[in-house]
Amino acid sequence: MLSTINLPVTPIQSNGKAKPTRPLRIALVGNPNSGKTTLFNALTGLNFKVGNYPGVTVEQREGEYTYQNRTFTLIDLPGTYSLSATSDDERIVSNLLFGLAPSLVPADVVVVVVDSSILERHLFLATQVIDLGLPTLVALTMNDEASAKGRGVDADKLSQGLGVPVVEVVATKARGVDDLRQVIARSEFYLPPPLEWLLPANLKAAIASLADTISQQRGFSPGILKQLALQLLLGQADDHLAGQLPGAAKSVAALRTSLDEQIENWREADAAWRYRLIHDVCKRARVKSPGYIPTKSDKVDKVLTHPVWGLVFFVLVMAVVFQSIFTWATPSMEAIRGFFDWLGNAVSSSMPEGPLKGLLVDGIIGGVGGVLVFLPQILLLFLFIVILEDSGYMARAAFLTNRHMRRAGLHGKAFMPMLSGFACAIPAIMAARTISDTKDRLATMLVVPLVSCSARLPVYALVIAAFIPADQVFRNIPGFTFQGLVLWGTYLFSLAAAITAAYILRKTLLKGETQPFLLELPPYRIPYWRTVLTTMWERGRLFLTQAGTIILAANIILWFLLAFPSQSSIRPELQAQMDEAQAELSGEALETRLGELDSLVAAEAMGNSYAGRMGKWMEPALKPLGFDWKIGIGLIGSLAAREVFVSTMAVVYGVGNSDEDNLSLVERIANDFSLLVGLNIILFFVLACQCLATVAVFKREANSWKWALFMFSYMTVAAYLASFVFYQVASRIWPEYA
Amino acid sequence: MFKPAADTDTKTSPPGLSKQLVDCCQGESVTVVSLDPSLSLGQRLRELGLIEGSQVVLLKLSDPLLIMVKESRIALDPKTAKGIKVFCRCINDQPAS
Repeated sequence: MLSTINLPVTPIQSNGKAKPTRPLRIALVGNPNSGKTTLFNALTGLNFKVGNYPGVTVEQREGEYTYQNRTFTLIDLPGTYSLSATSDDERIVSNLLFGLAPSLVPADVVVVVVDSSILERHLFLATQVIDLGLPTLVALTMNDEASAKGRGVDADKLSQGLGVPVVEVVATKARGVDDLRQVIARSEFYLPPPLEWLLPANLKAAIASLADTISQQRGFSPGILKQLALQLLLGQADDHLAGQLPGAAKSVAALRTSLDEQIENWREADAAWRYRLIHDVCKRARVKSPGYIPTKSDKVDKVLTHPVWGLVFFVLVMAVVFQSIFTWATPSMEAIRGFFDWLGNAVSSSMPEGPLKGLLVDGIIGGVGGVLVFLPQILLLFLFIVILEDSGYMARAAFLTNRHMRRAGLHGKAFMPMLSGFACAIPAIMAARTISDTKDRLATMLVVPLVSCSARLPVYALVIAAFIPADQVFRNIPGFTFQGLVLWGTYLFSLAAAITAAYILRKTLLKGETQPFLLELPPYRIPYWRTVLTTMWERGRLFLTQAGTIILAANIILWFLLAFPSQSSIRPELQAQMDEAQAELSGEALETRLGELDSLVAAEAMGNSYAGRMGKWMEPALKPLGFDWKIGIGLIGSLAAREVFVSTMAVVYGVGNSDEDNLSLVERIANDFSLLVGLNIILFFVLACQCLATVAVFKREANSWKWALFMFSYMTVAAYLASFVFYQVASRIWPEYA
Repeated sequence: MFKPAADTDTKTSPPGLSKQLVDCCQGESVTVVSLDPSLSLGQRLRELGLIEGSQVVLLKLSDPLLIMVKESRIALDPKTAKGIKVFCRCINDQPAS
């Protein structure tokens, strides 16, 4: 039955607190893939903000909604299987619920999101949260799916079994969401009755003794104290909890030794009693399991996780993704390009000549417009990544690639950061947090920036459009063009470069065993459009705000470097040539000649500008790569963000050509560079770490300037050497293309 | 609130017949006997439901392995699977690499 509010049969206890006037803080807790984010979106609408938790880079999503004239703050916590945290994401959850981190504002109410189709496993976390003694309720998701399979959960009976309210929600259809709001509004007065821990007496005594030790150092509520003591005993030696409660470490070690002597397999006792309780609750709340019956997901997995057919499908998916980025994005890109051209012309014609006009038209409109034009491609890439994640395919991709990843010395989970790296190295480096082993994580973080991110896409797109024909690869199969093929090849090459770098790193600087692979394959689900669009927009917006501000600043600085020192007079030889042309020529011939001379004047002015001087200073080092000083300026600019290379080139070429010259940037580059130089720009950008934001995030994540600078240096050296060898070899073999 | 019944699911596997999970056959339903104490992910495996007496279906005997436990599909590497002792009837001649 839908939309039923199920309150516990046991009398609801009031904690006697007066109704607080500040917004009630609701923490959404649940296993990964429990439908937590969809529920968060349904509850808050689009009224949320995304940031980072203090001191770490785990994404923090907080939203607000109003119900019965009262404001509620909703915190979407990272997915976790248990309160025994094994990664930074999970540590945020346990730190917030235990009240361990002073920087995290504690929650007043906890909503545990439980997936009906994986009920037992999801209830494990629910029982741990109930132990804490905080006002708790369960949001039961996917029960429509489970009911369709004849295994629907009776929410009333589940509520009776757990002693907390259970609300059934179908967030994708907004069913039960209002009921959930109603129960949340009252839940601050509910405290769940404590669960009876059926543990061996010696273990109970050890927990009580440890709880006593902890309480002498810091005050905690009884429920939290008990769970903290249990997690401390069960945790690893280097556990984060032990680090936060250093006074308890001695007792923990002594108690573990004593328990090892007294009880065989005492570490299993907690999970065992919880699962027995859960088993009994589930027995009453739904029909008995008929045993293993292959689900649709299992049938699909027979093909998609097959070592051969699975990989074929994986490669095809990736090919379609990258092909679509080129083909589908074109109409909207044309529209954006048209708009910025119109805006530039409109501003240009309504302003007097001078530095301000140059700044506005060339620096701001030209530069930002030149990068915004690639937003459709970036949004499409994010769209695919979100769909792959939410459909459950991303986990299958990790399953398939694990063996290959391990050969390179990377953890199977490294595939997730690697795939995210195709969008942006910054979230990808952050995504490496799911890997708990330090060396595995560091290896992943070091190679992820080699995977071609979306910021490189504008550079690839520019060069590919300039040099590679848009012809069809197969005459009979529409859509597959040489341009798409080269782009796909570039991405594959970047992946190969990352894997090679990982292999070398794990054999040298980061020697050691890789951590065991453990990954849940969630059931396949059709992604919910609202979650997909919200996440896509959110990530697109972050990219835009980051790129927008950096690019604007970079463009103003670049415009300054290009426009100053301004040249007031024209060299006498050039002035003489102009005078001569005006005296001897007329009509079209005069205009052509003056246009040529204007270009020479502008080129000279730029050659004397600060940027020109810097580029020329760098030219001897860049020459063996086939690069000139103009590319040198682009490389300097791209350190702010890779995509700035495109806008820099737009500025460089905008200044370097006469106003009558209407050639697009692509055409100008095609005229100015050779094919080998174009390909070498791509090669350099694949390997180089042309992104200071990546270096900054790396430092924050690894907490080490040494490793951050190592990452920047090894990539830059690799890029220079590879481009050097490529150009020197290729220009000797194919001098006609050099 | 219910209290859990006595432990009826556990200790069903006769001692001496337990094997490593990797030595069982694909598609077989097996019963967990114990986890190697040296497994670094032991605690997480227990939380996911791999405790004595649990039923596990070996969905894919590959690298990584795919198992079903507590209705969820979990992928794990053969090395971890070697640390999971189970009771199974079928003898597999071609274990996962």
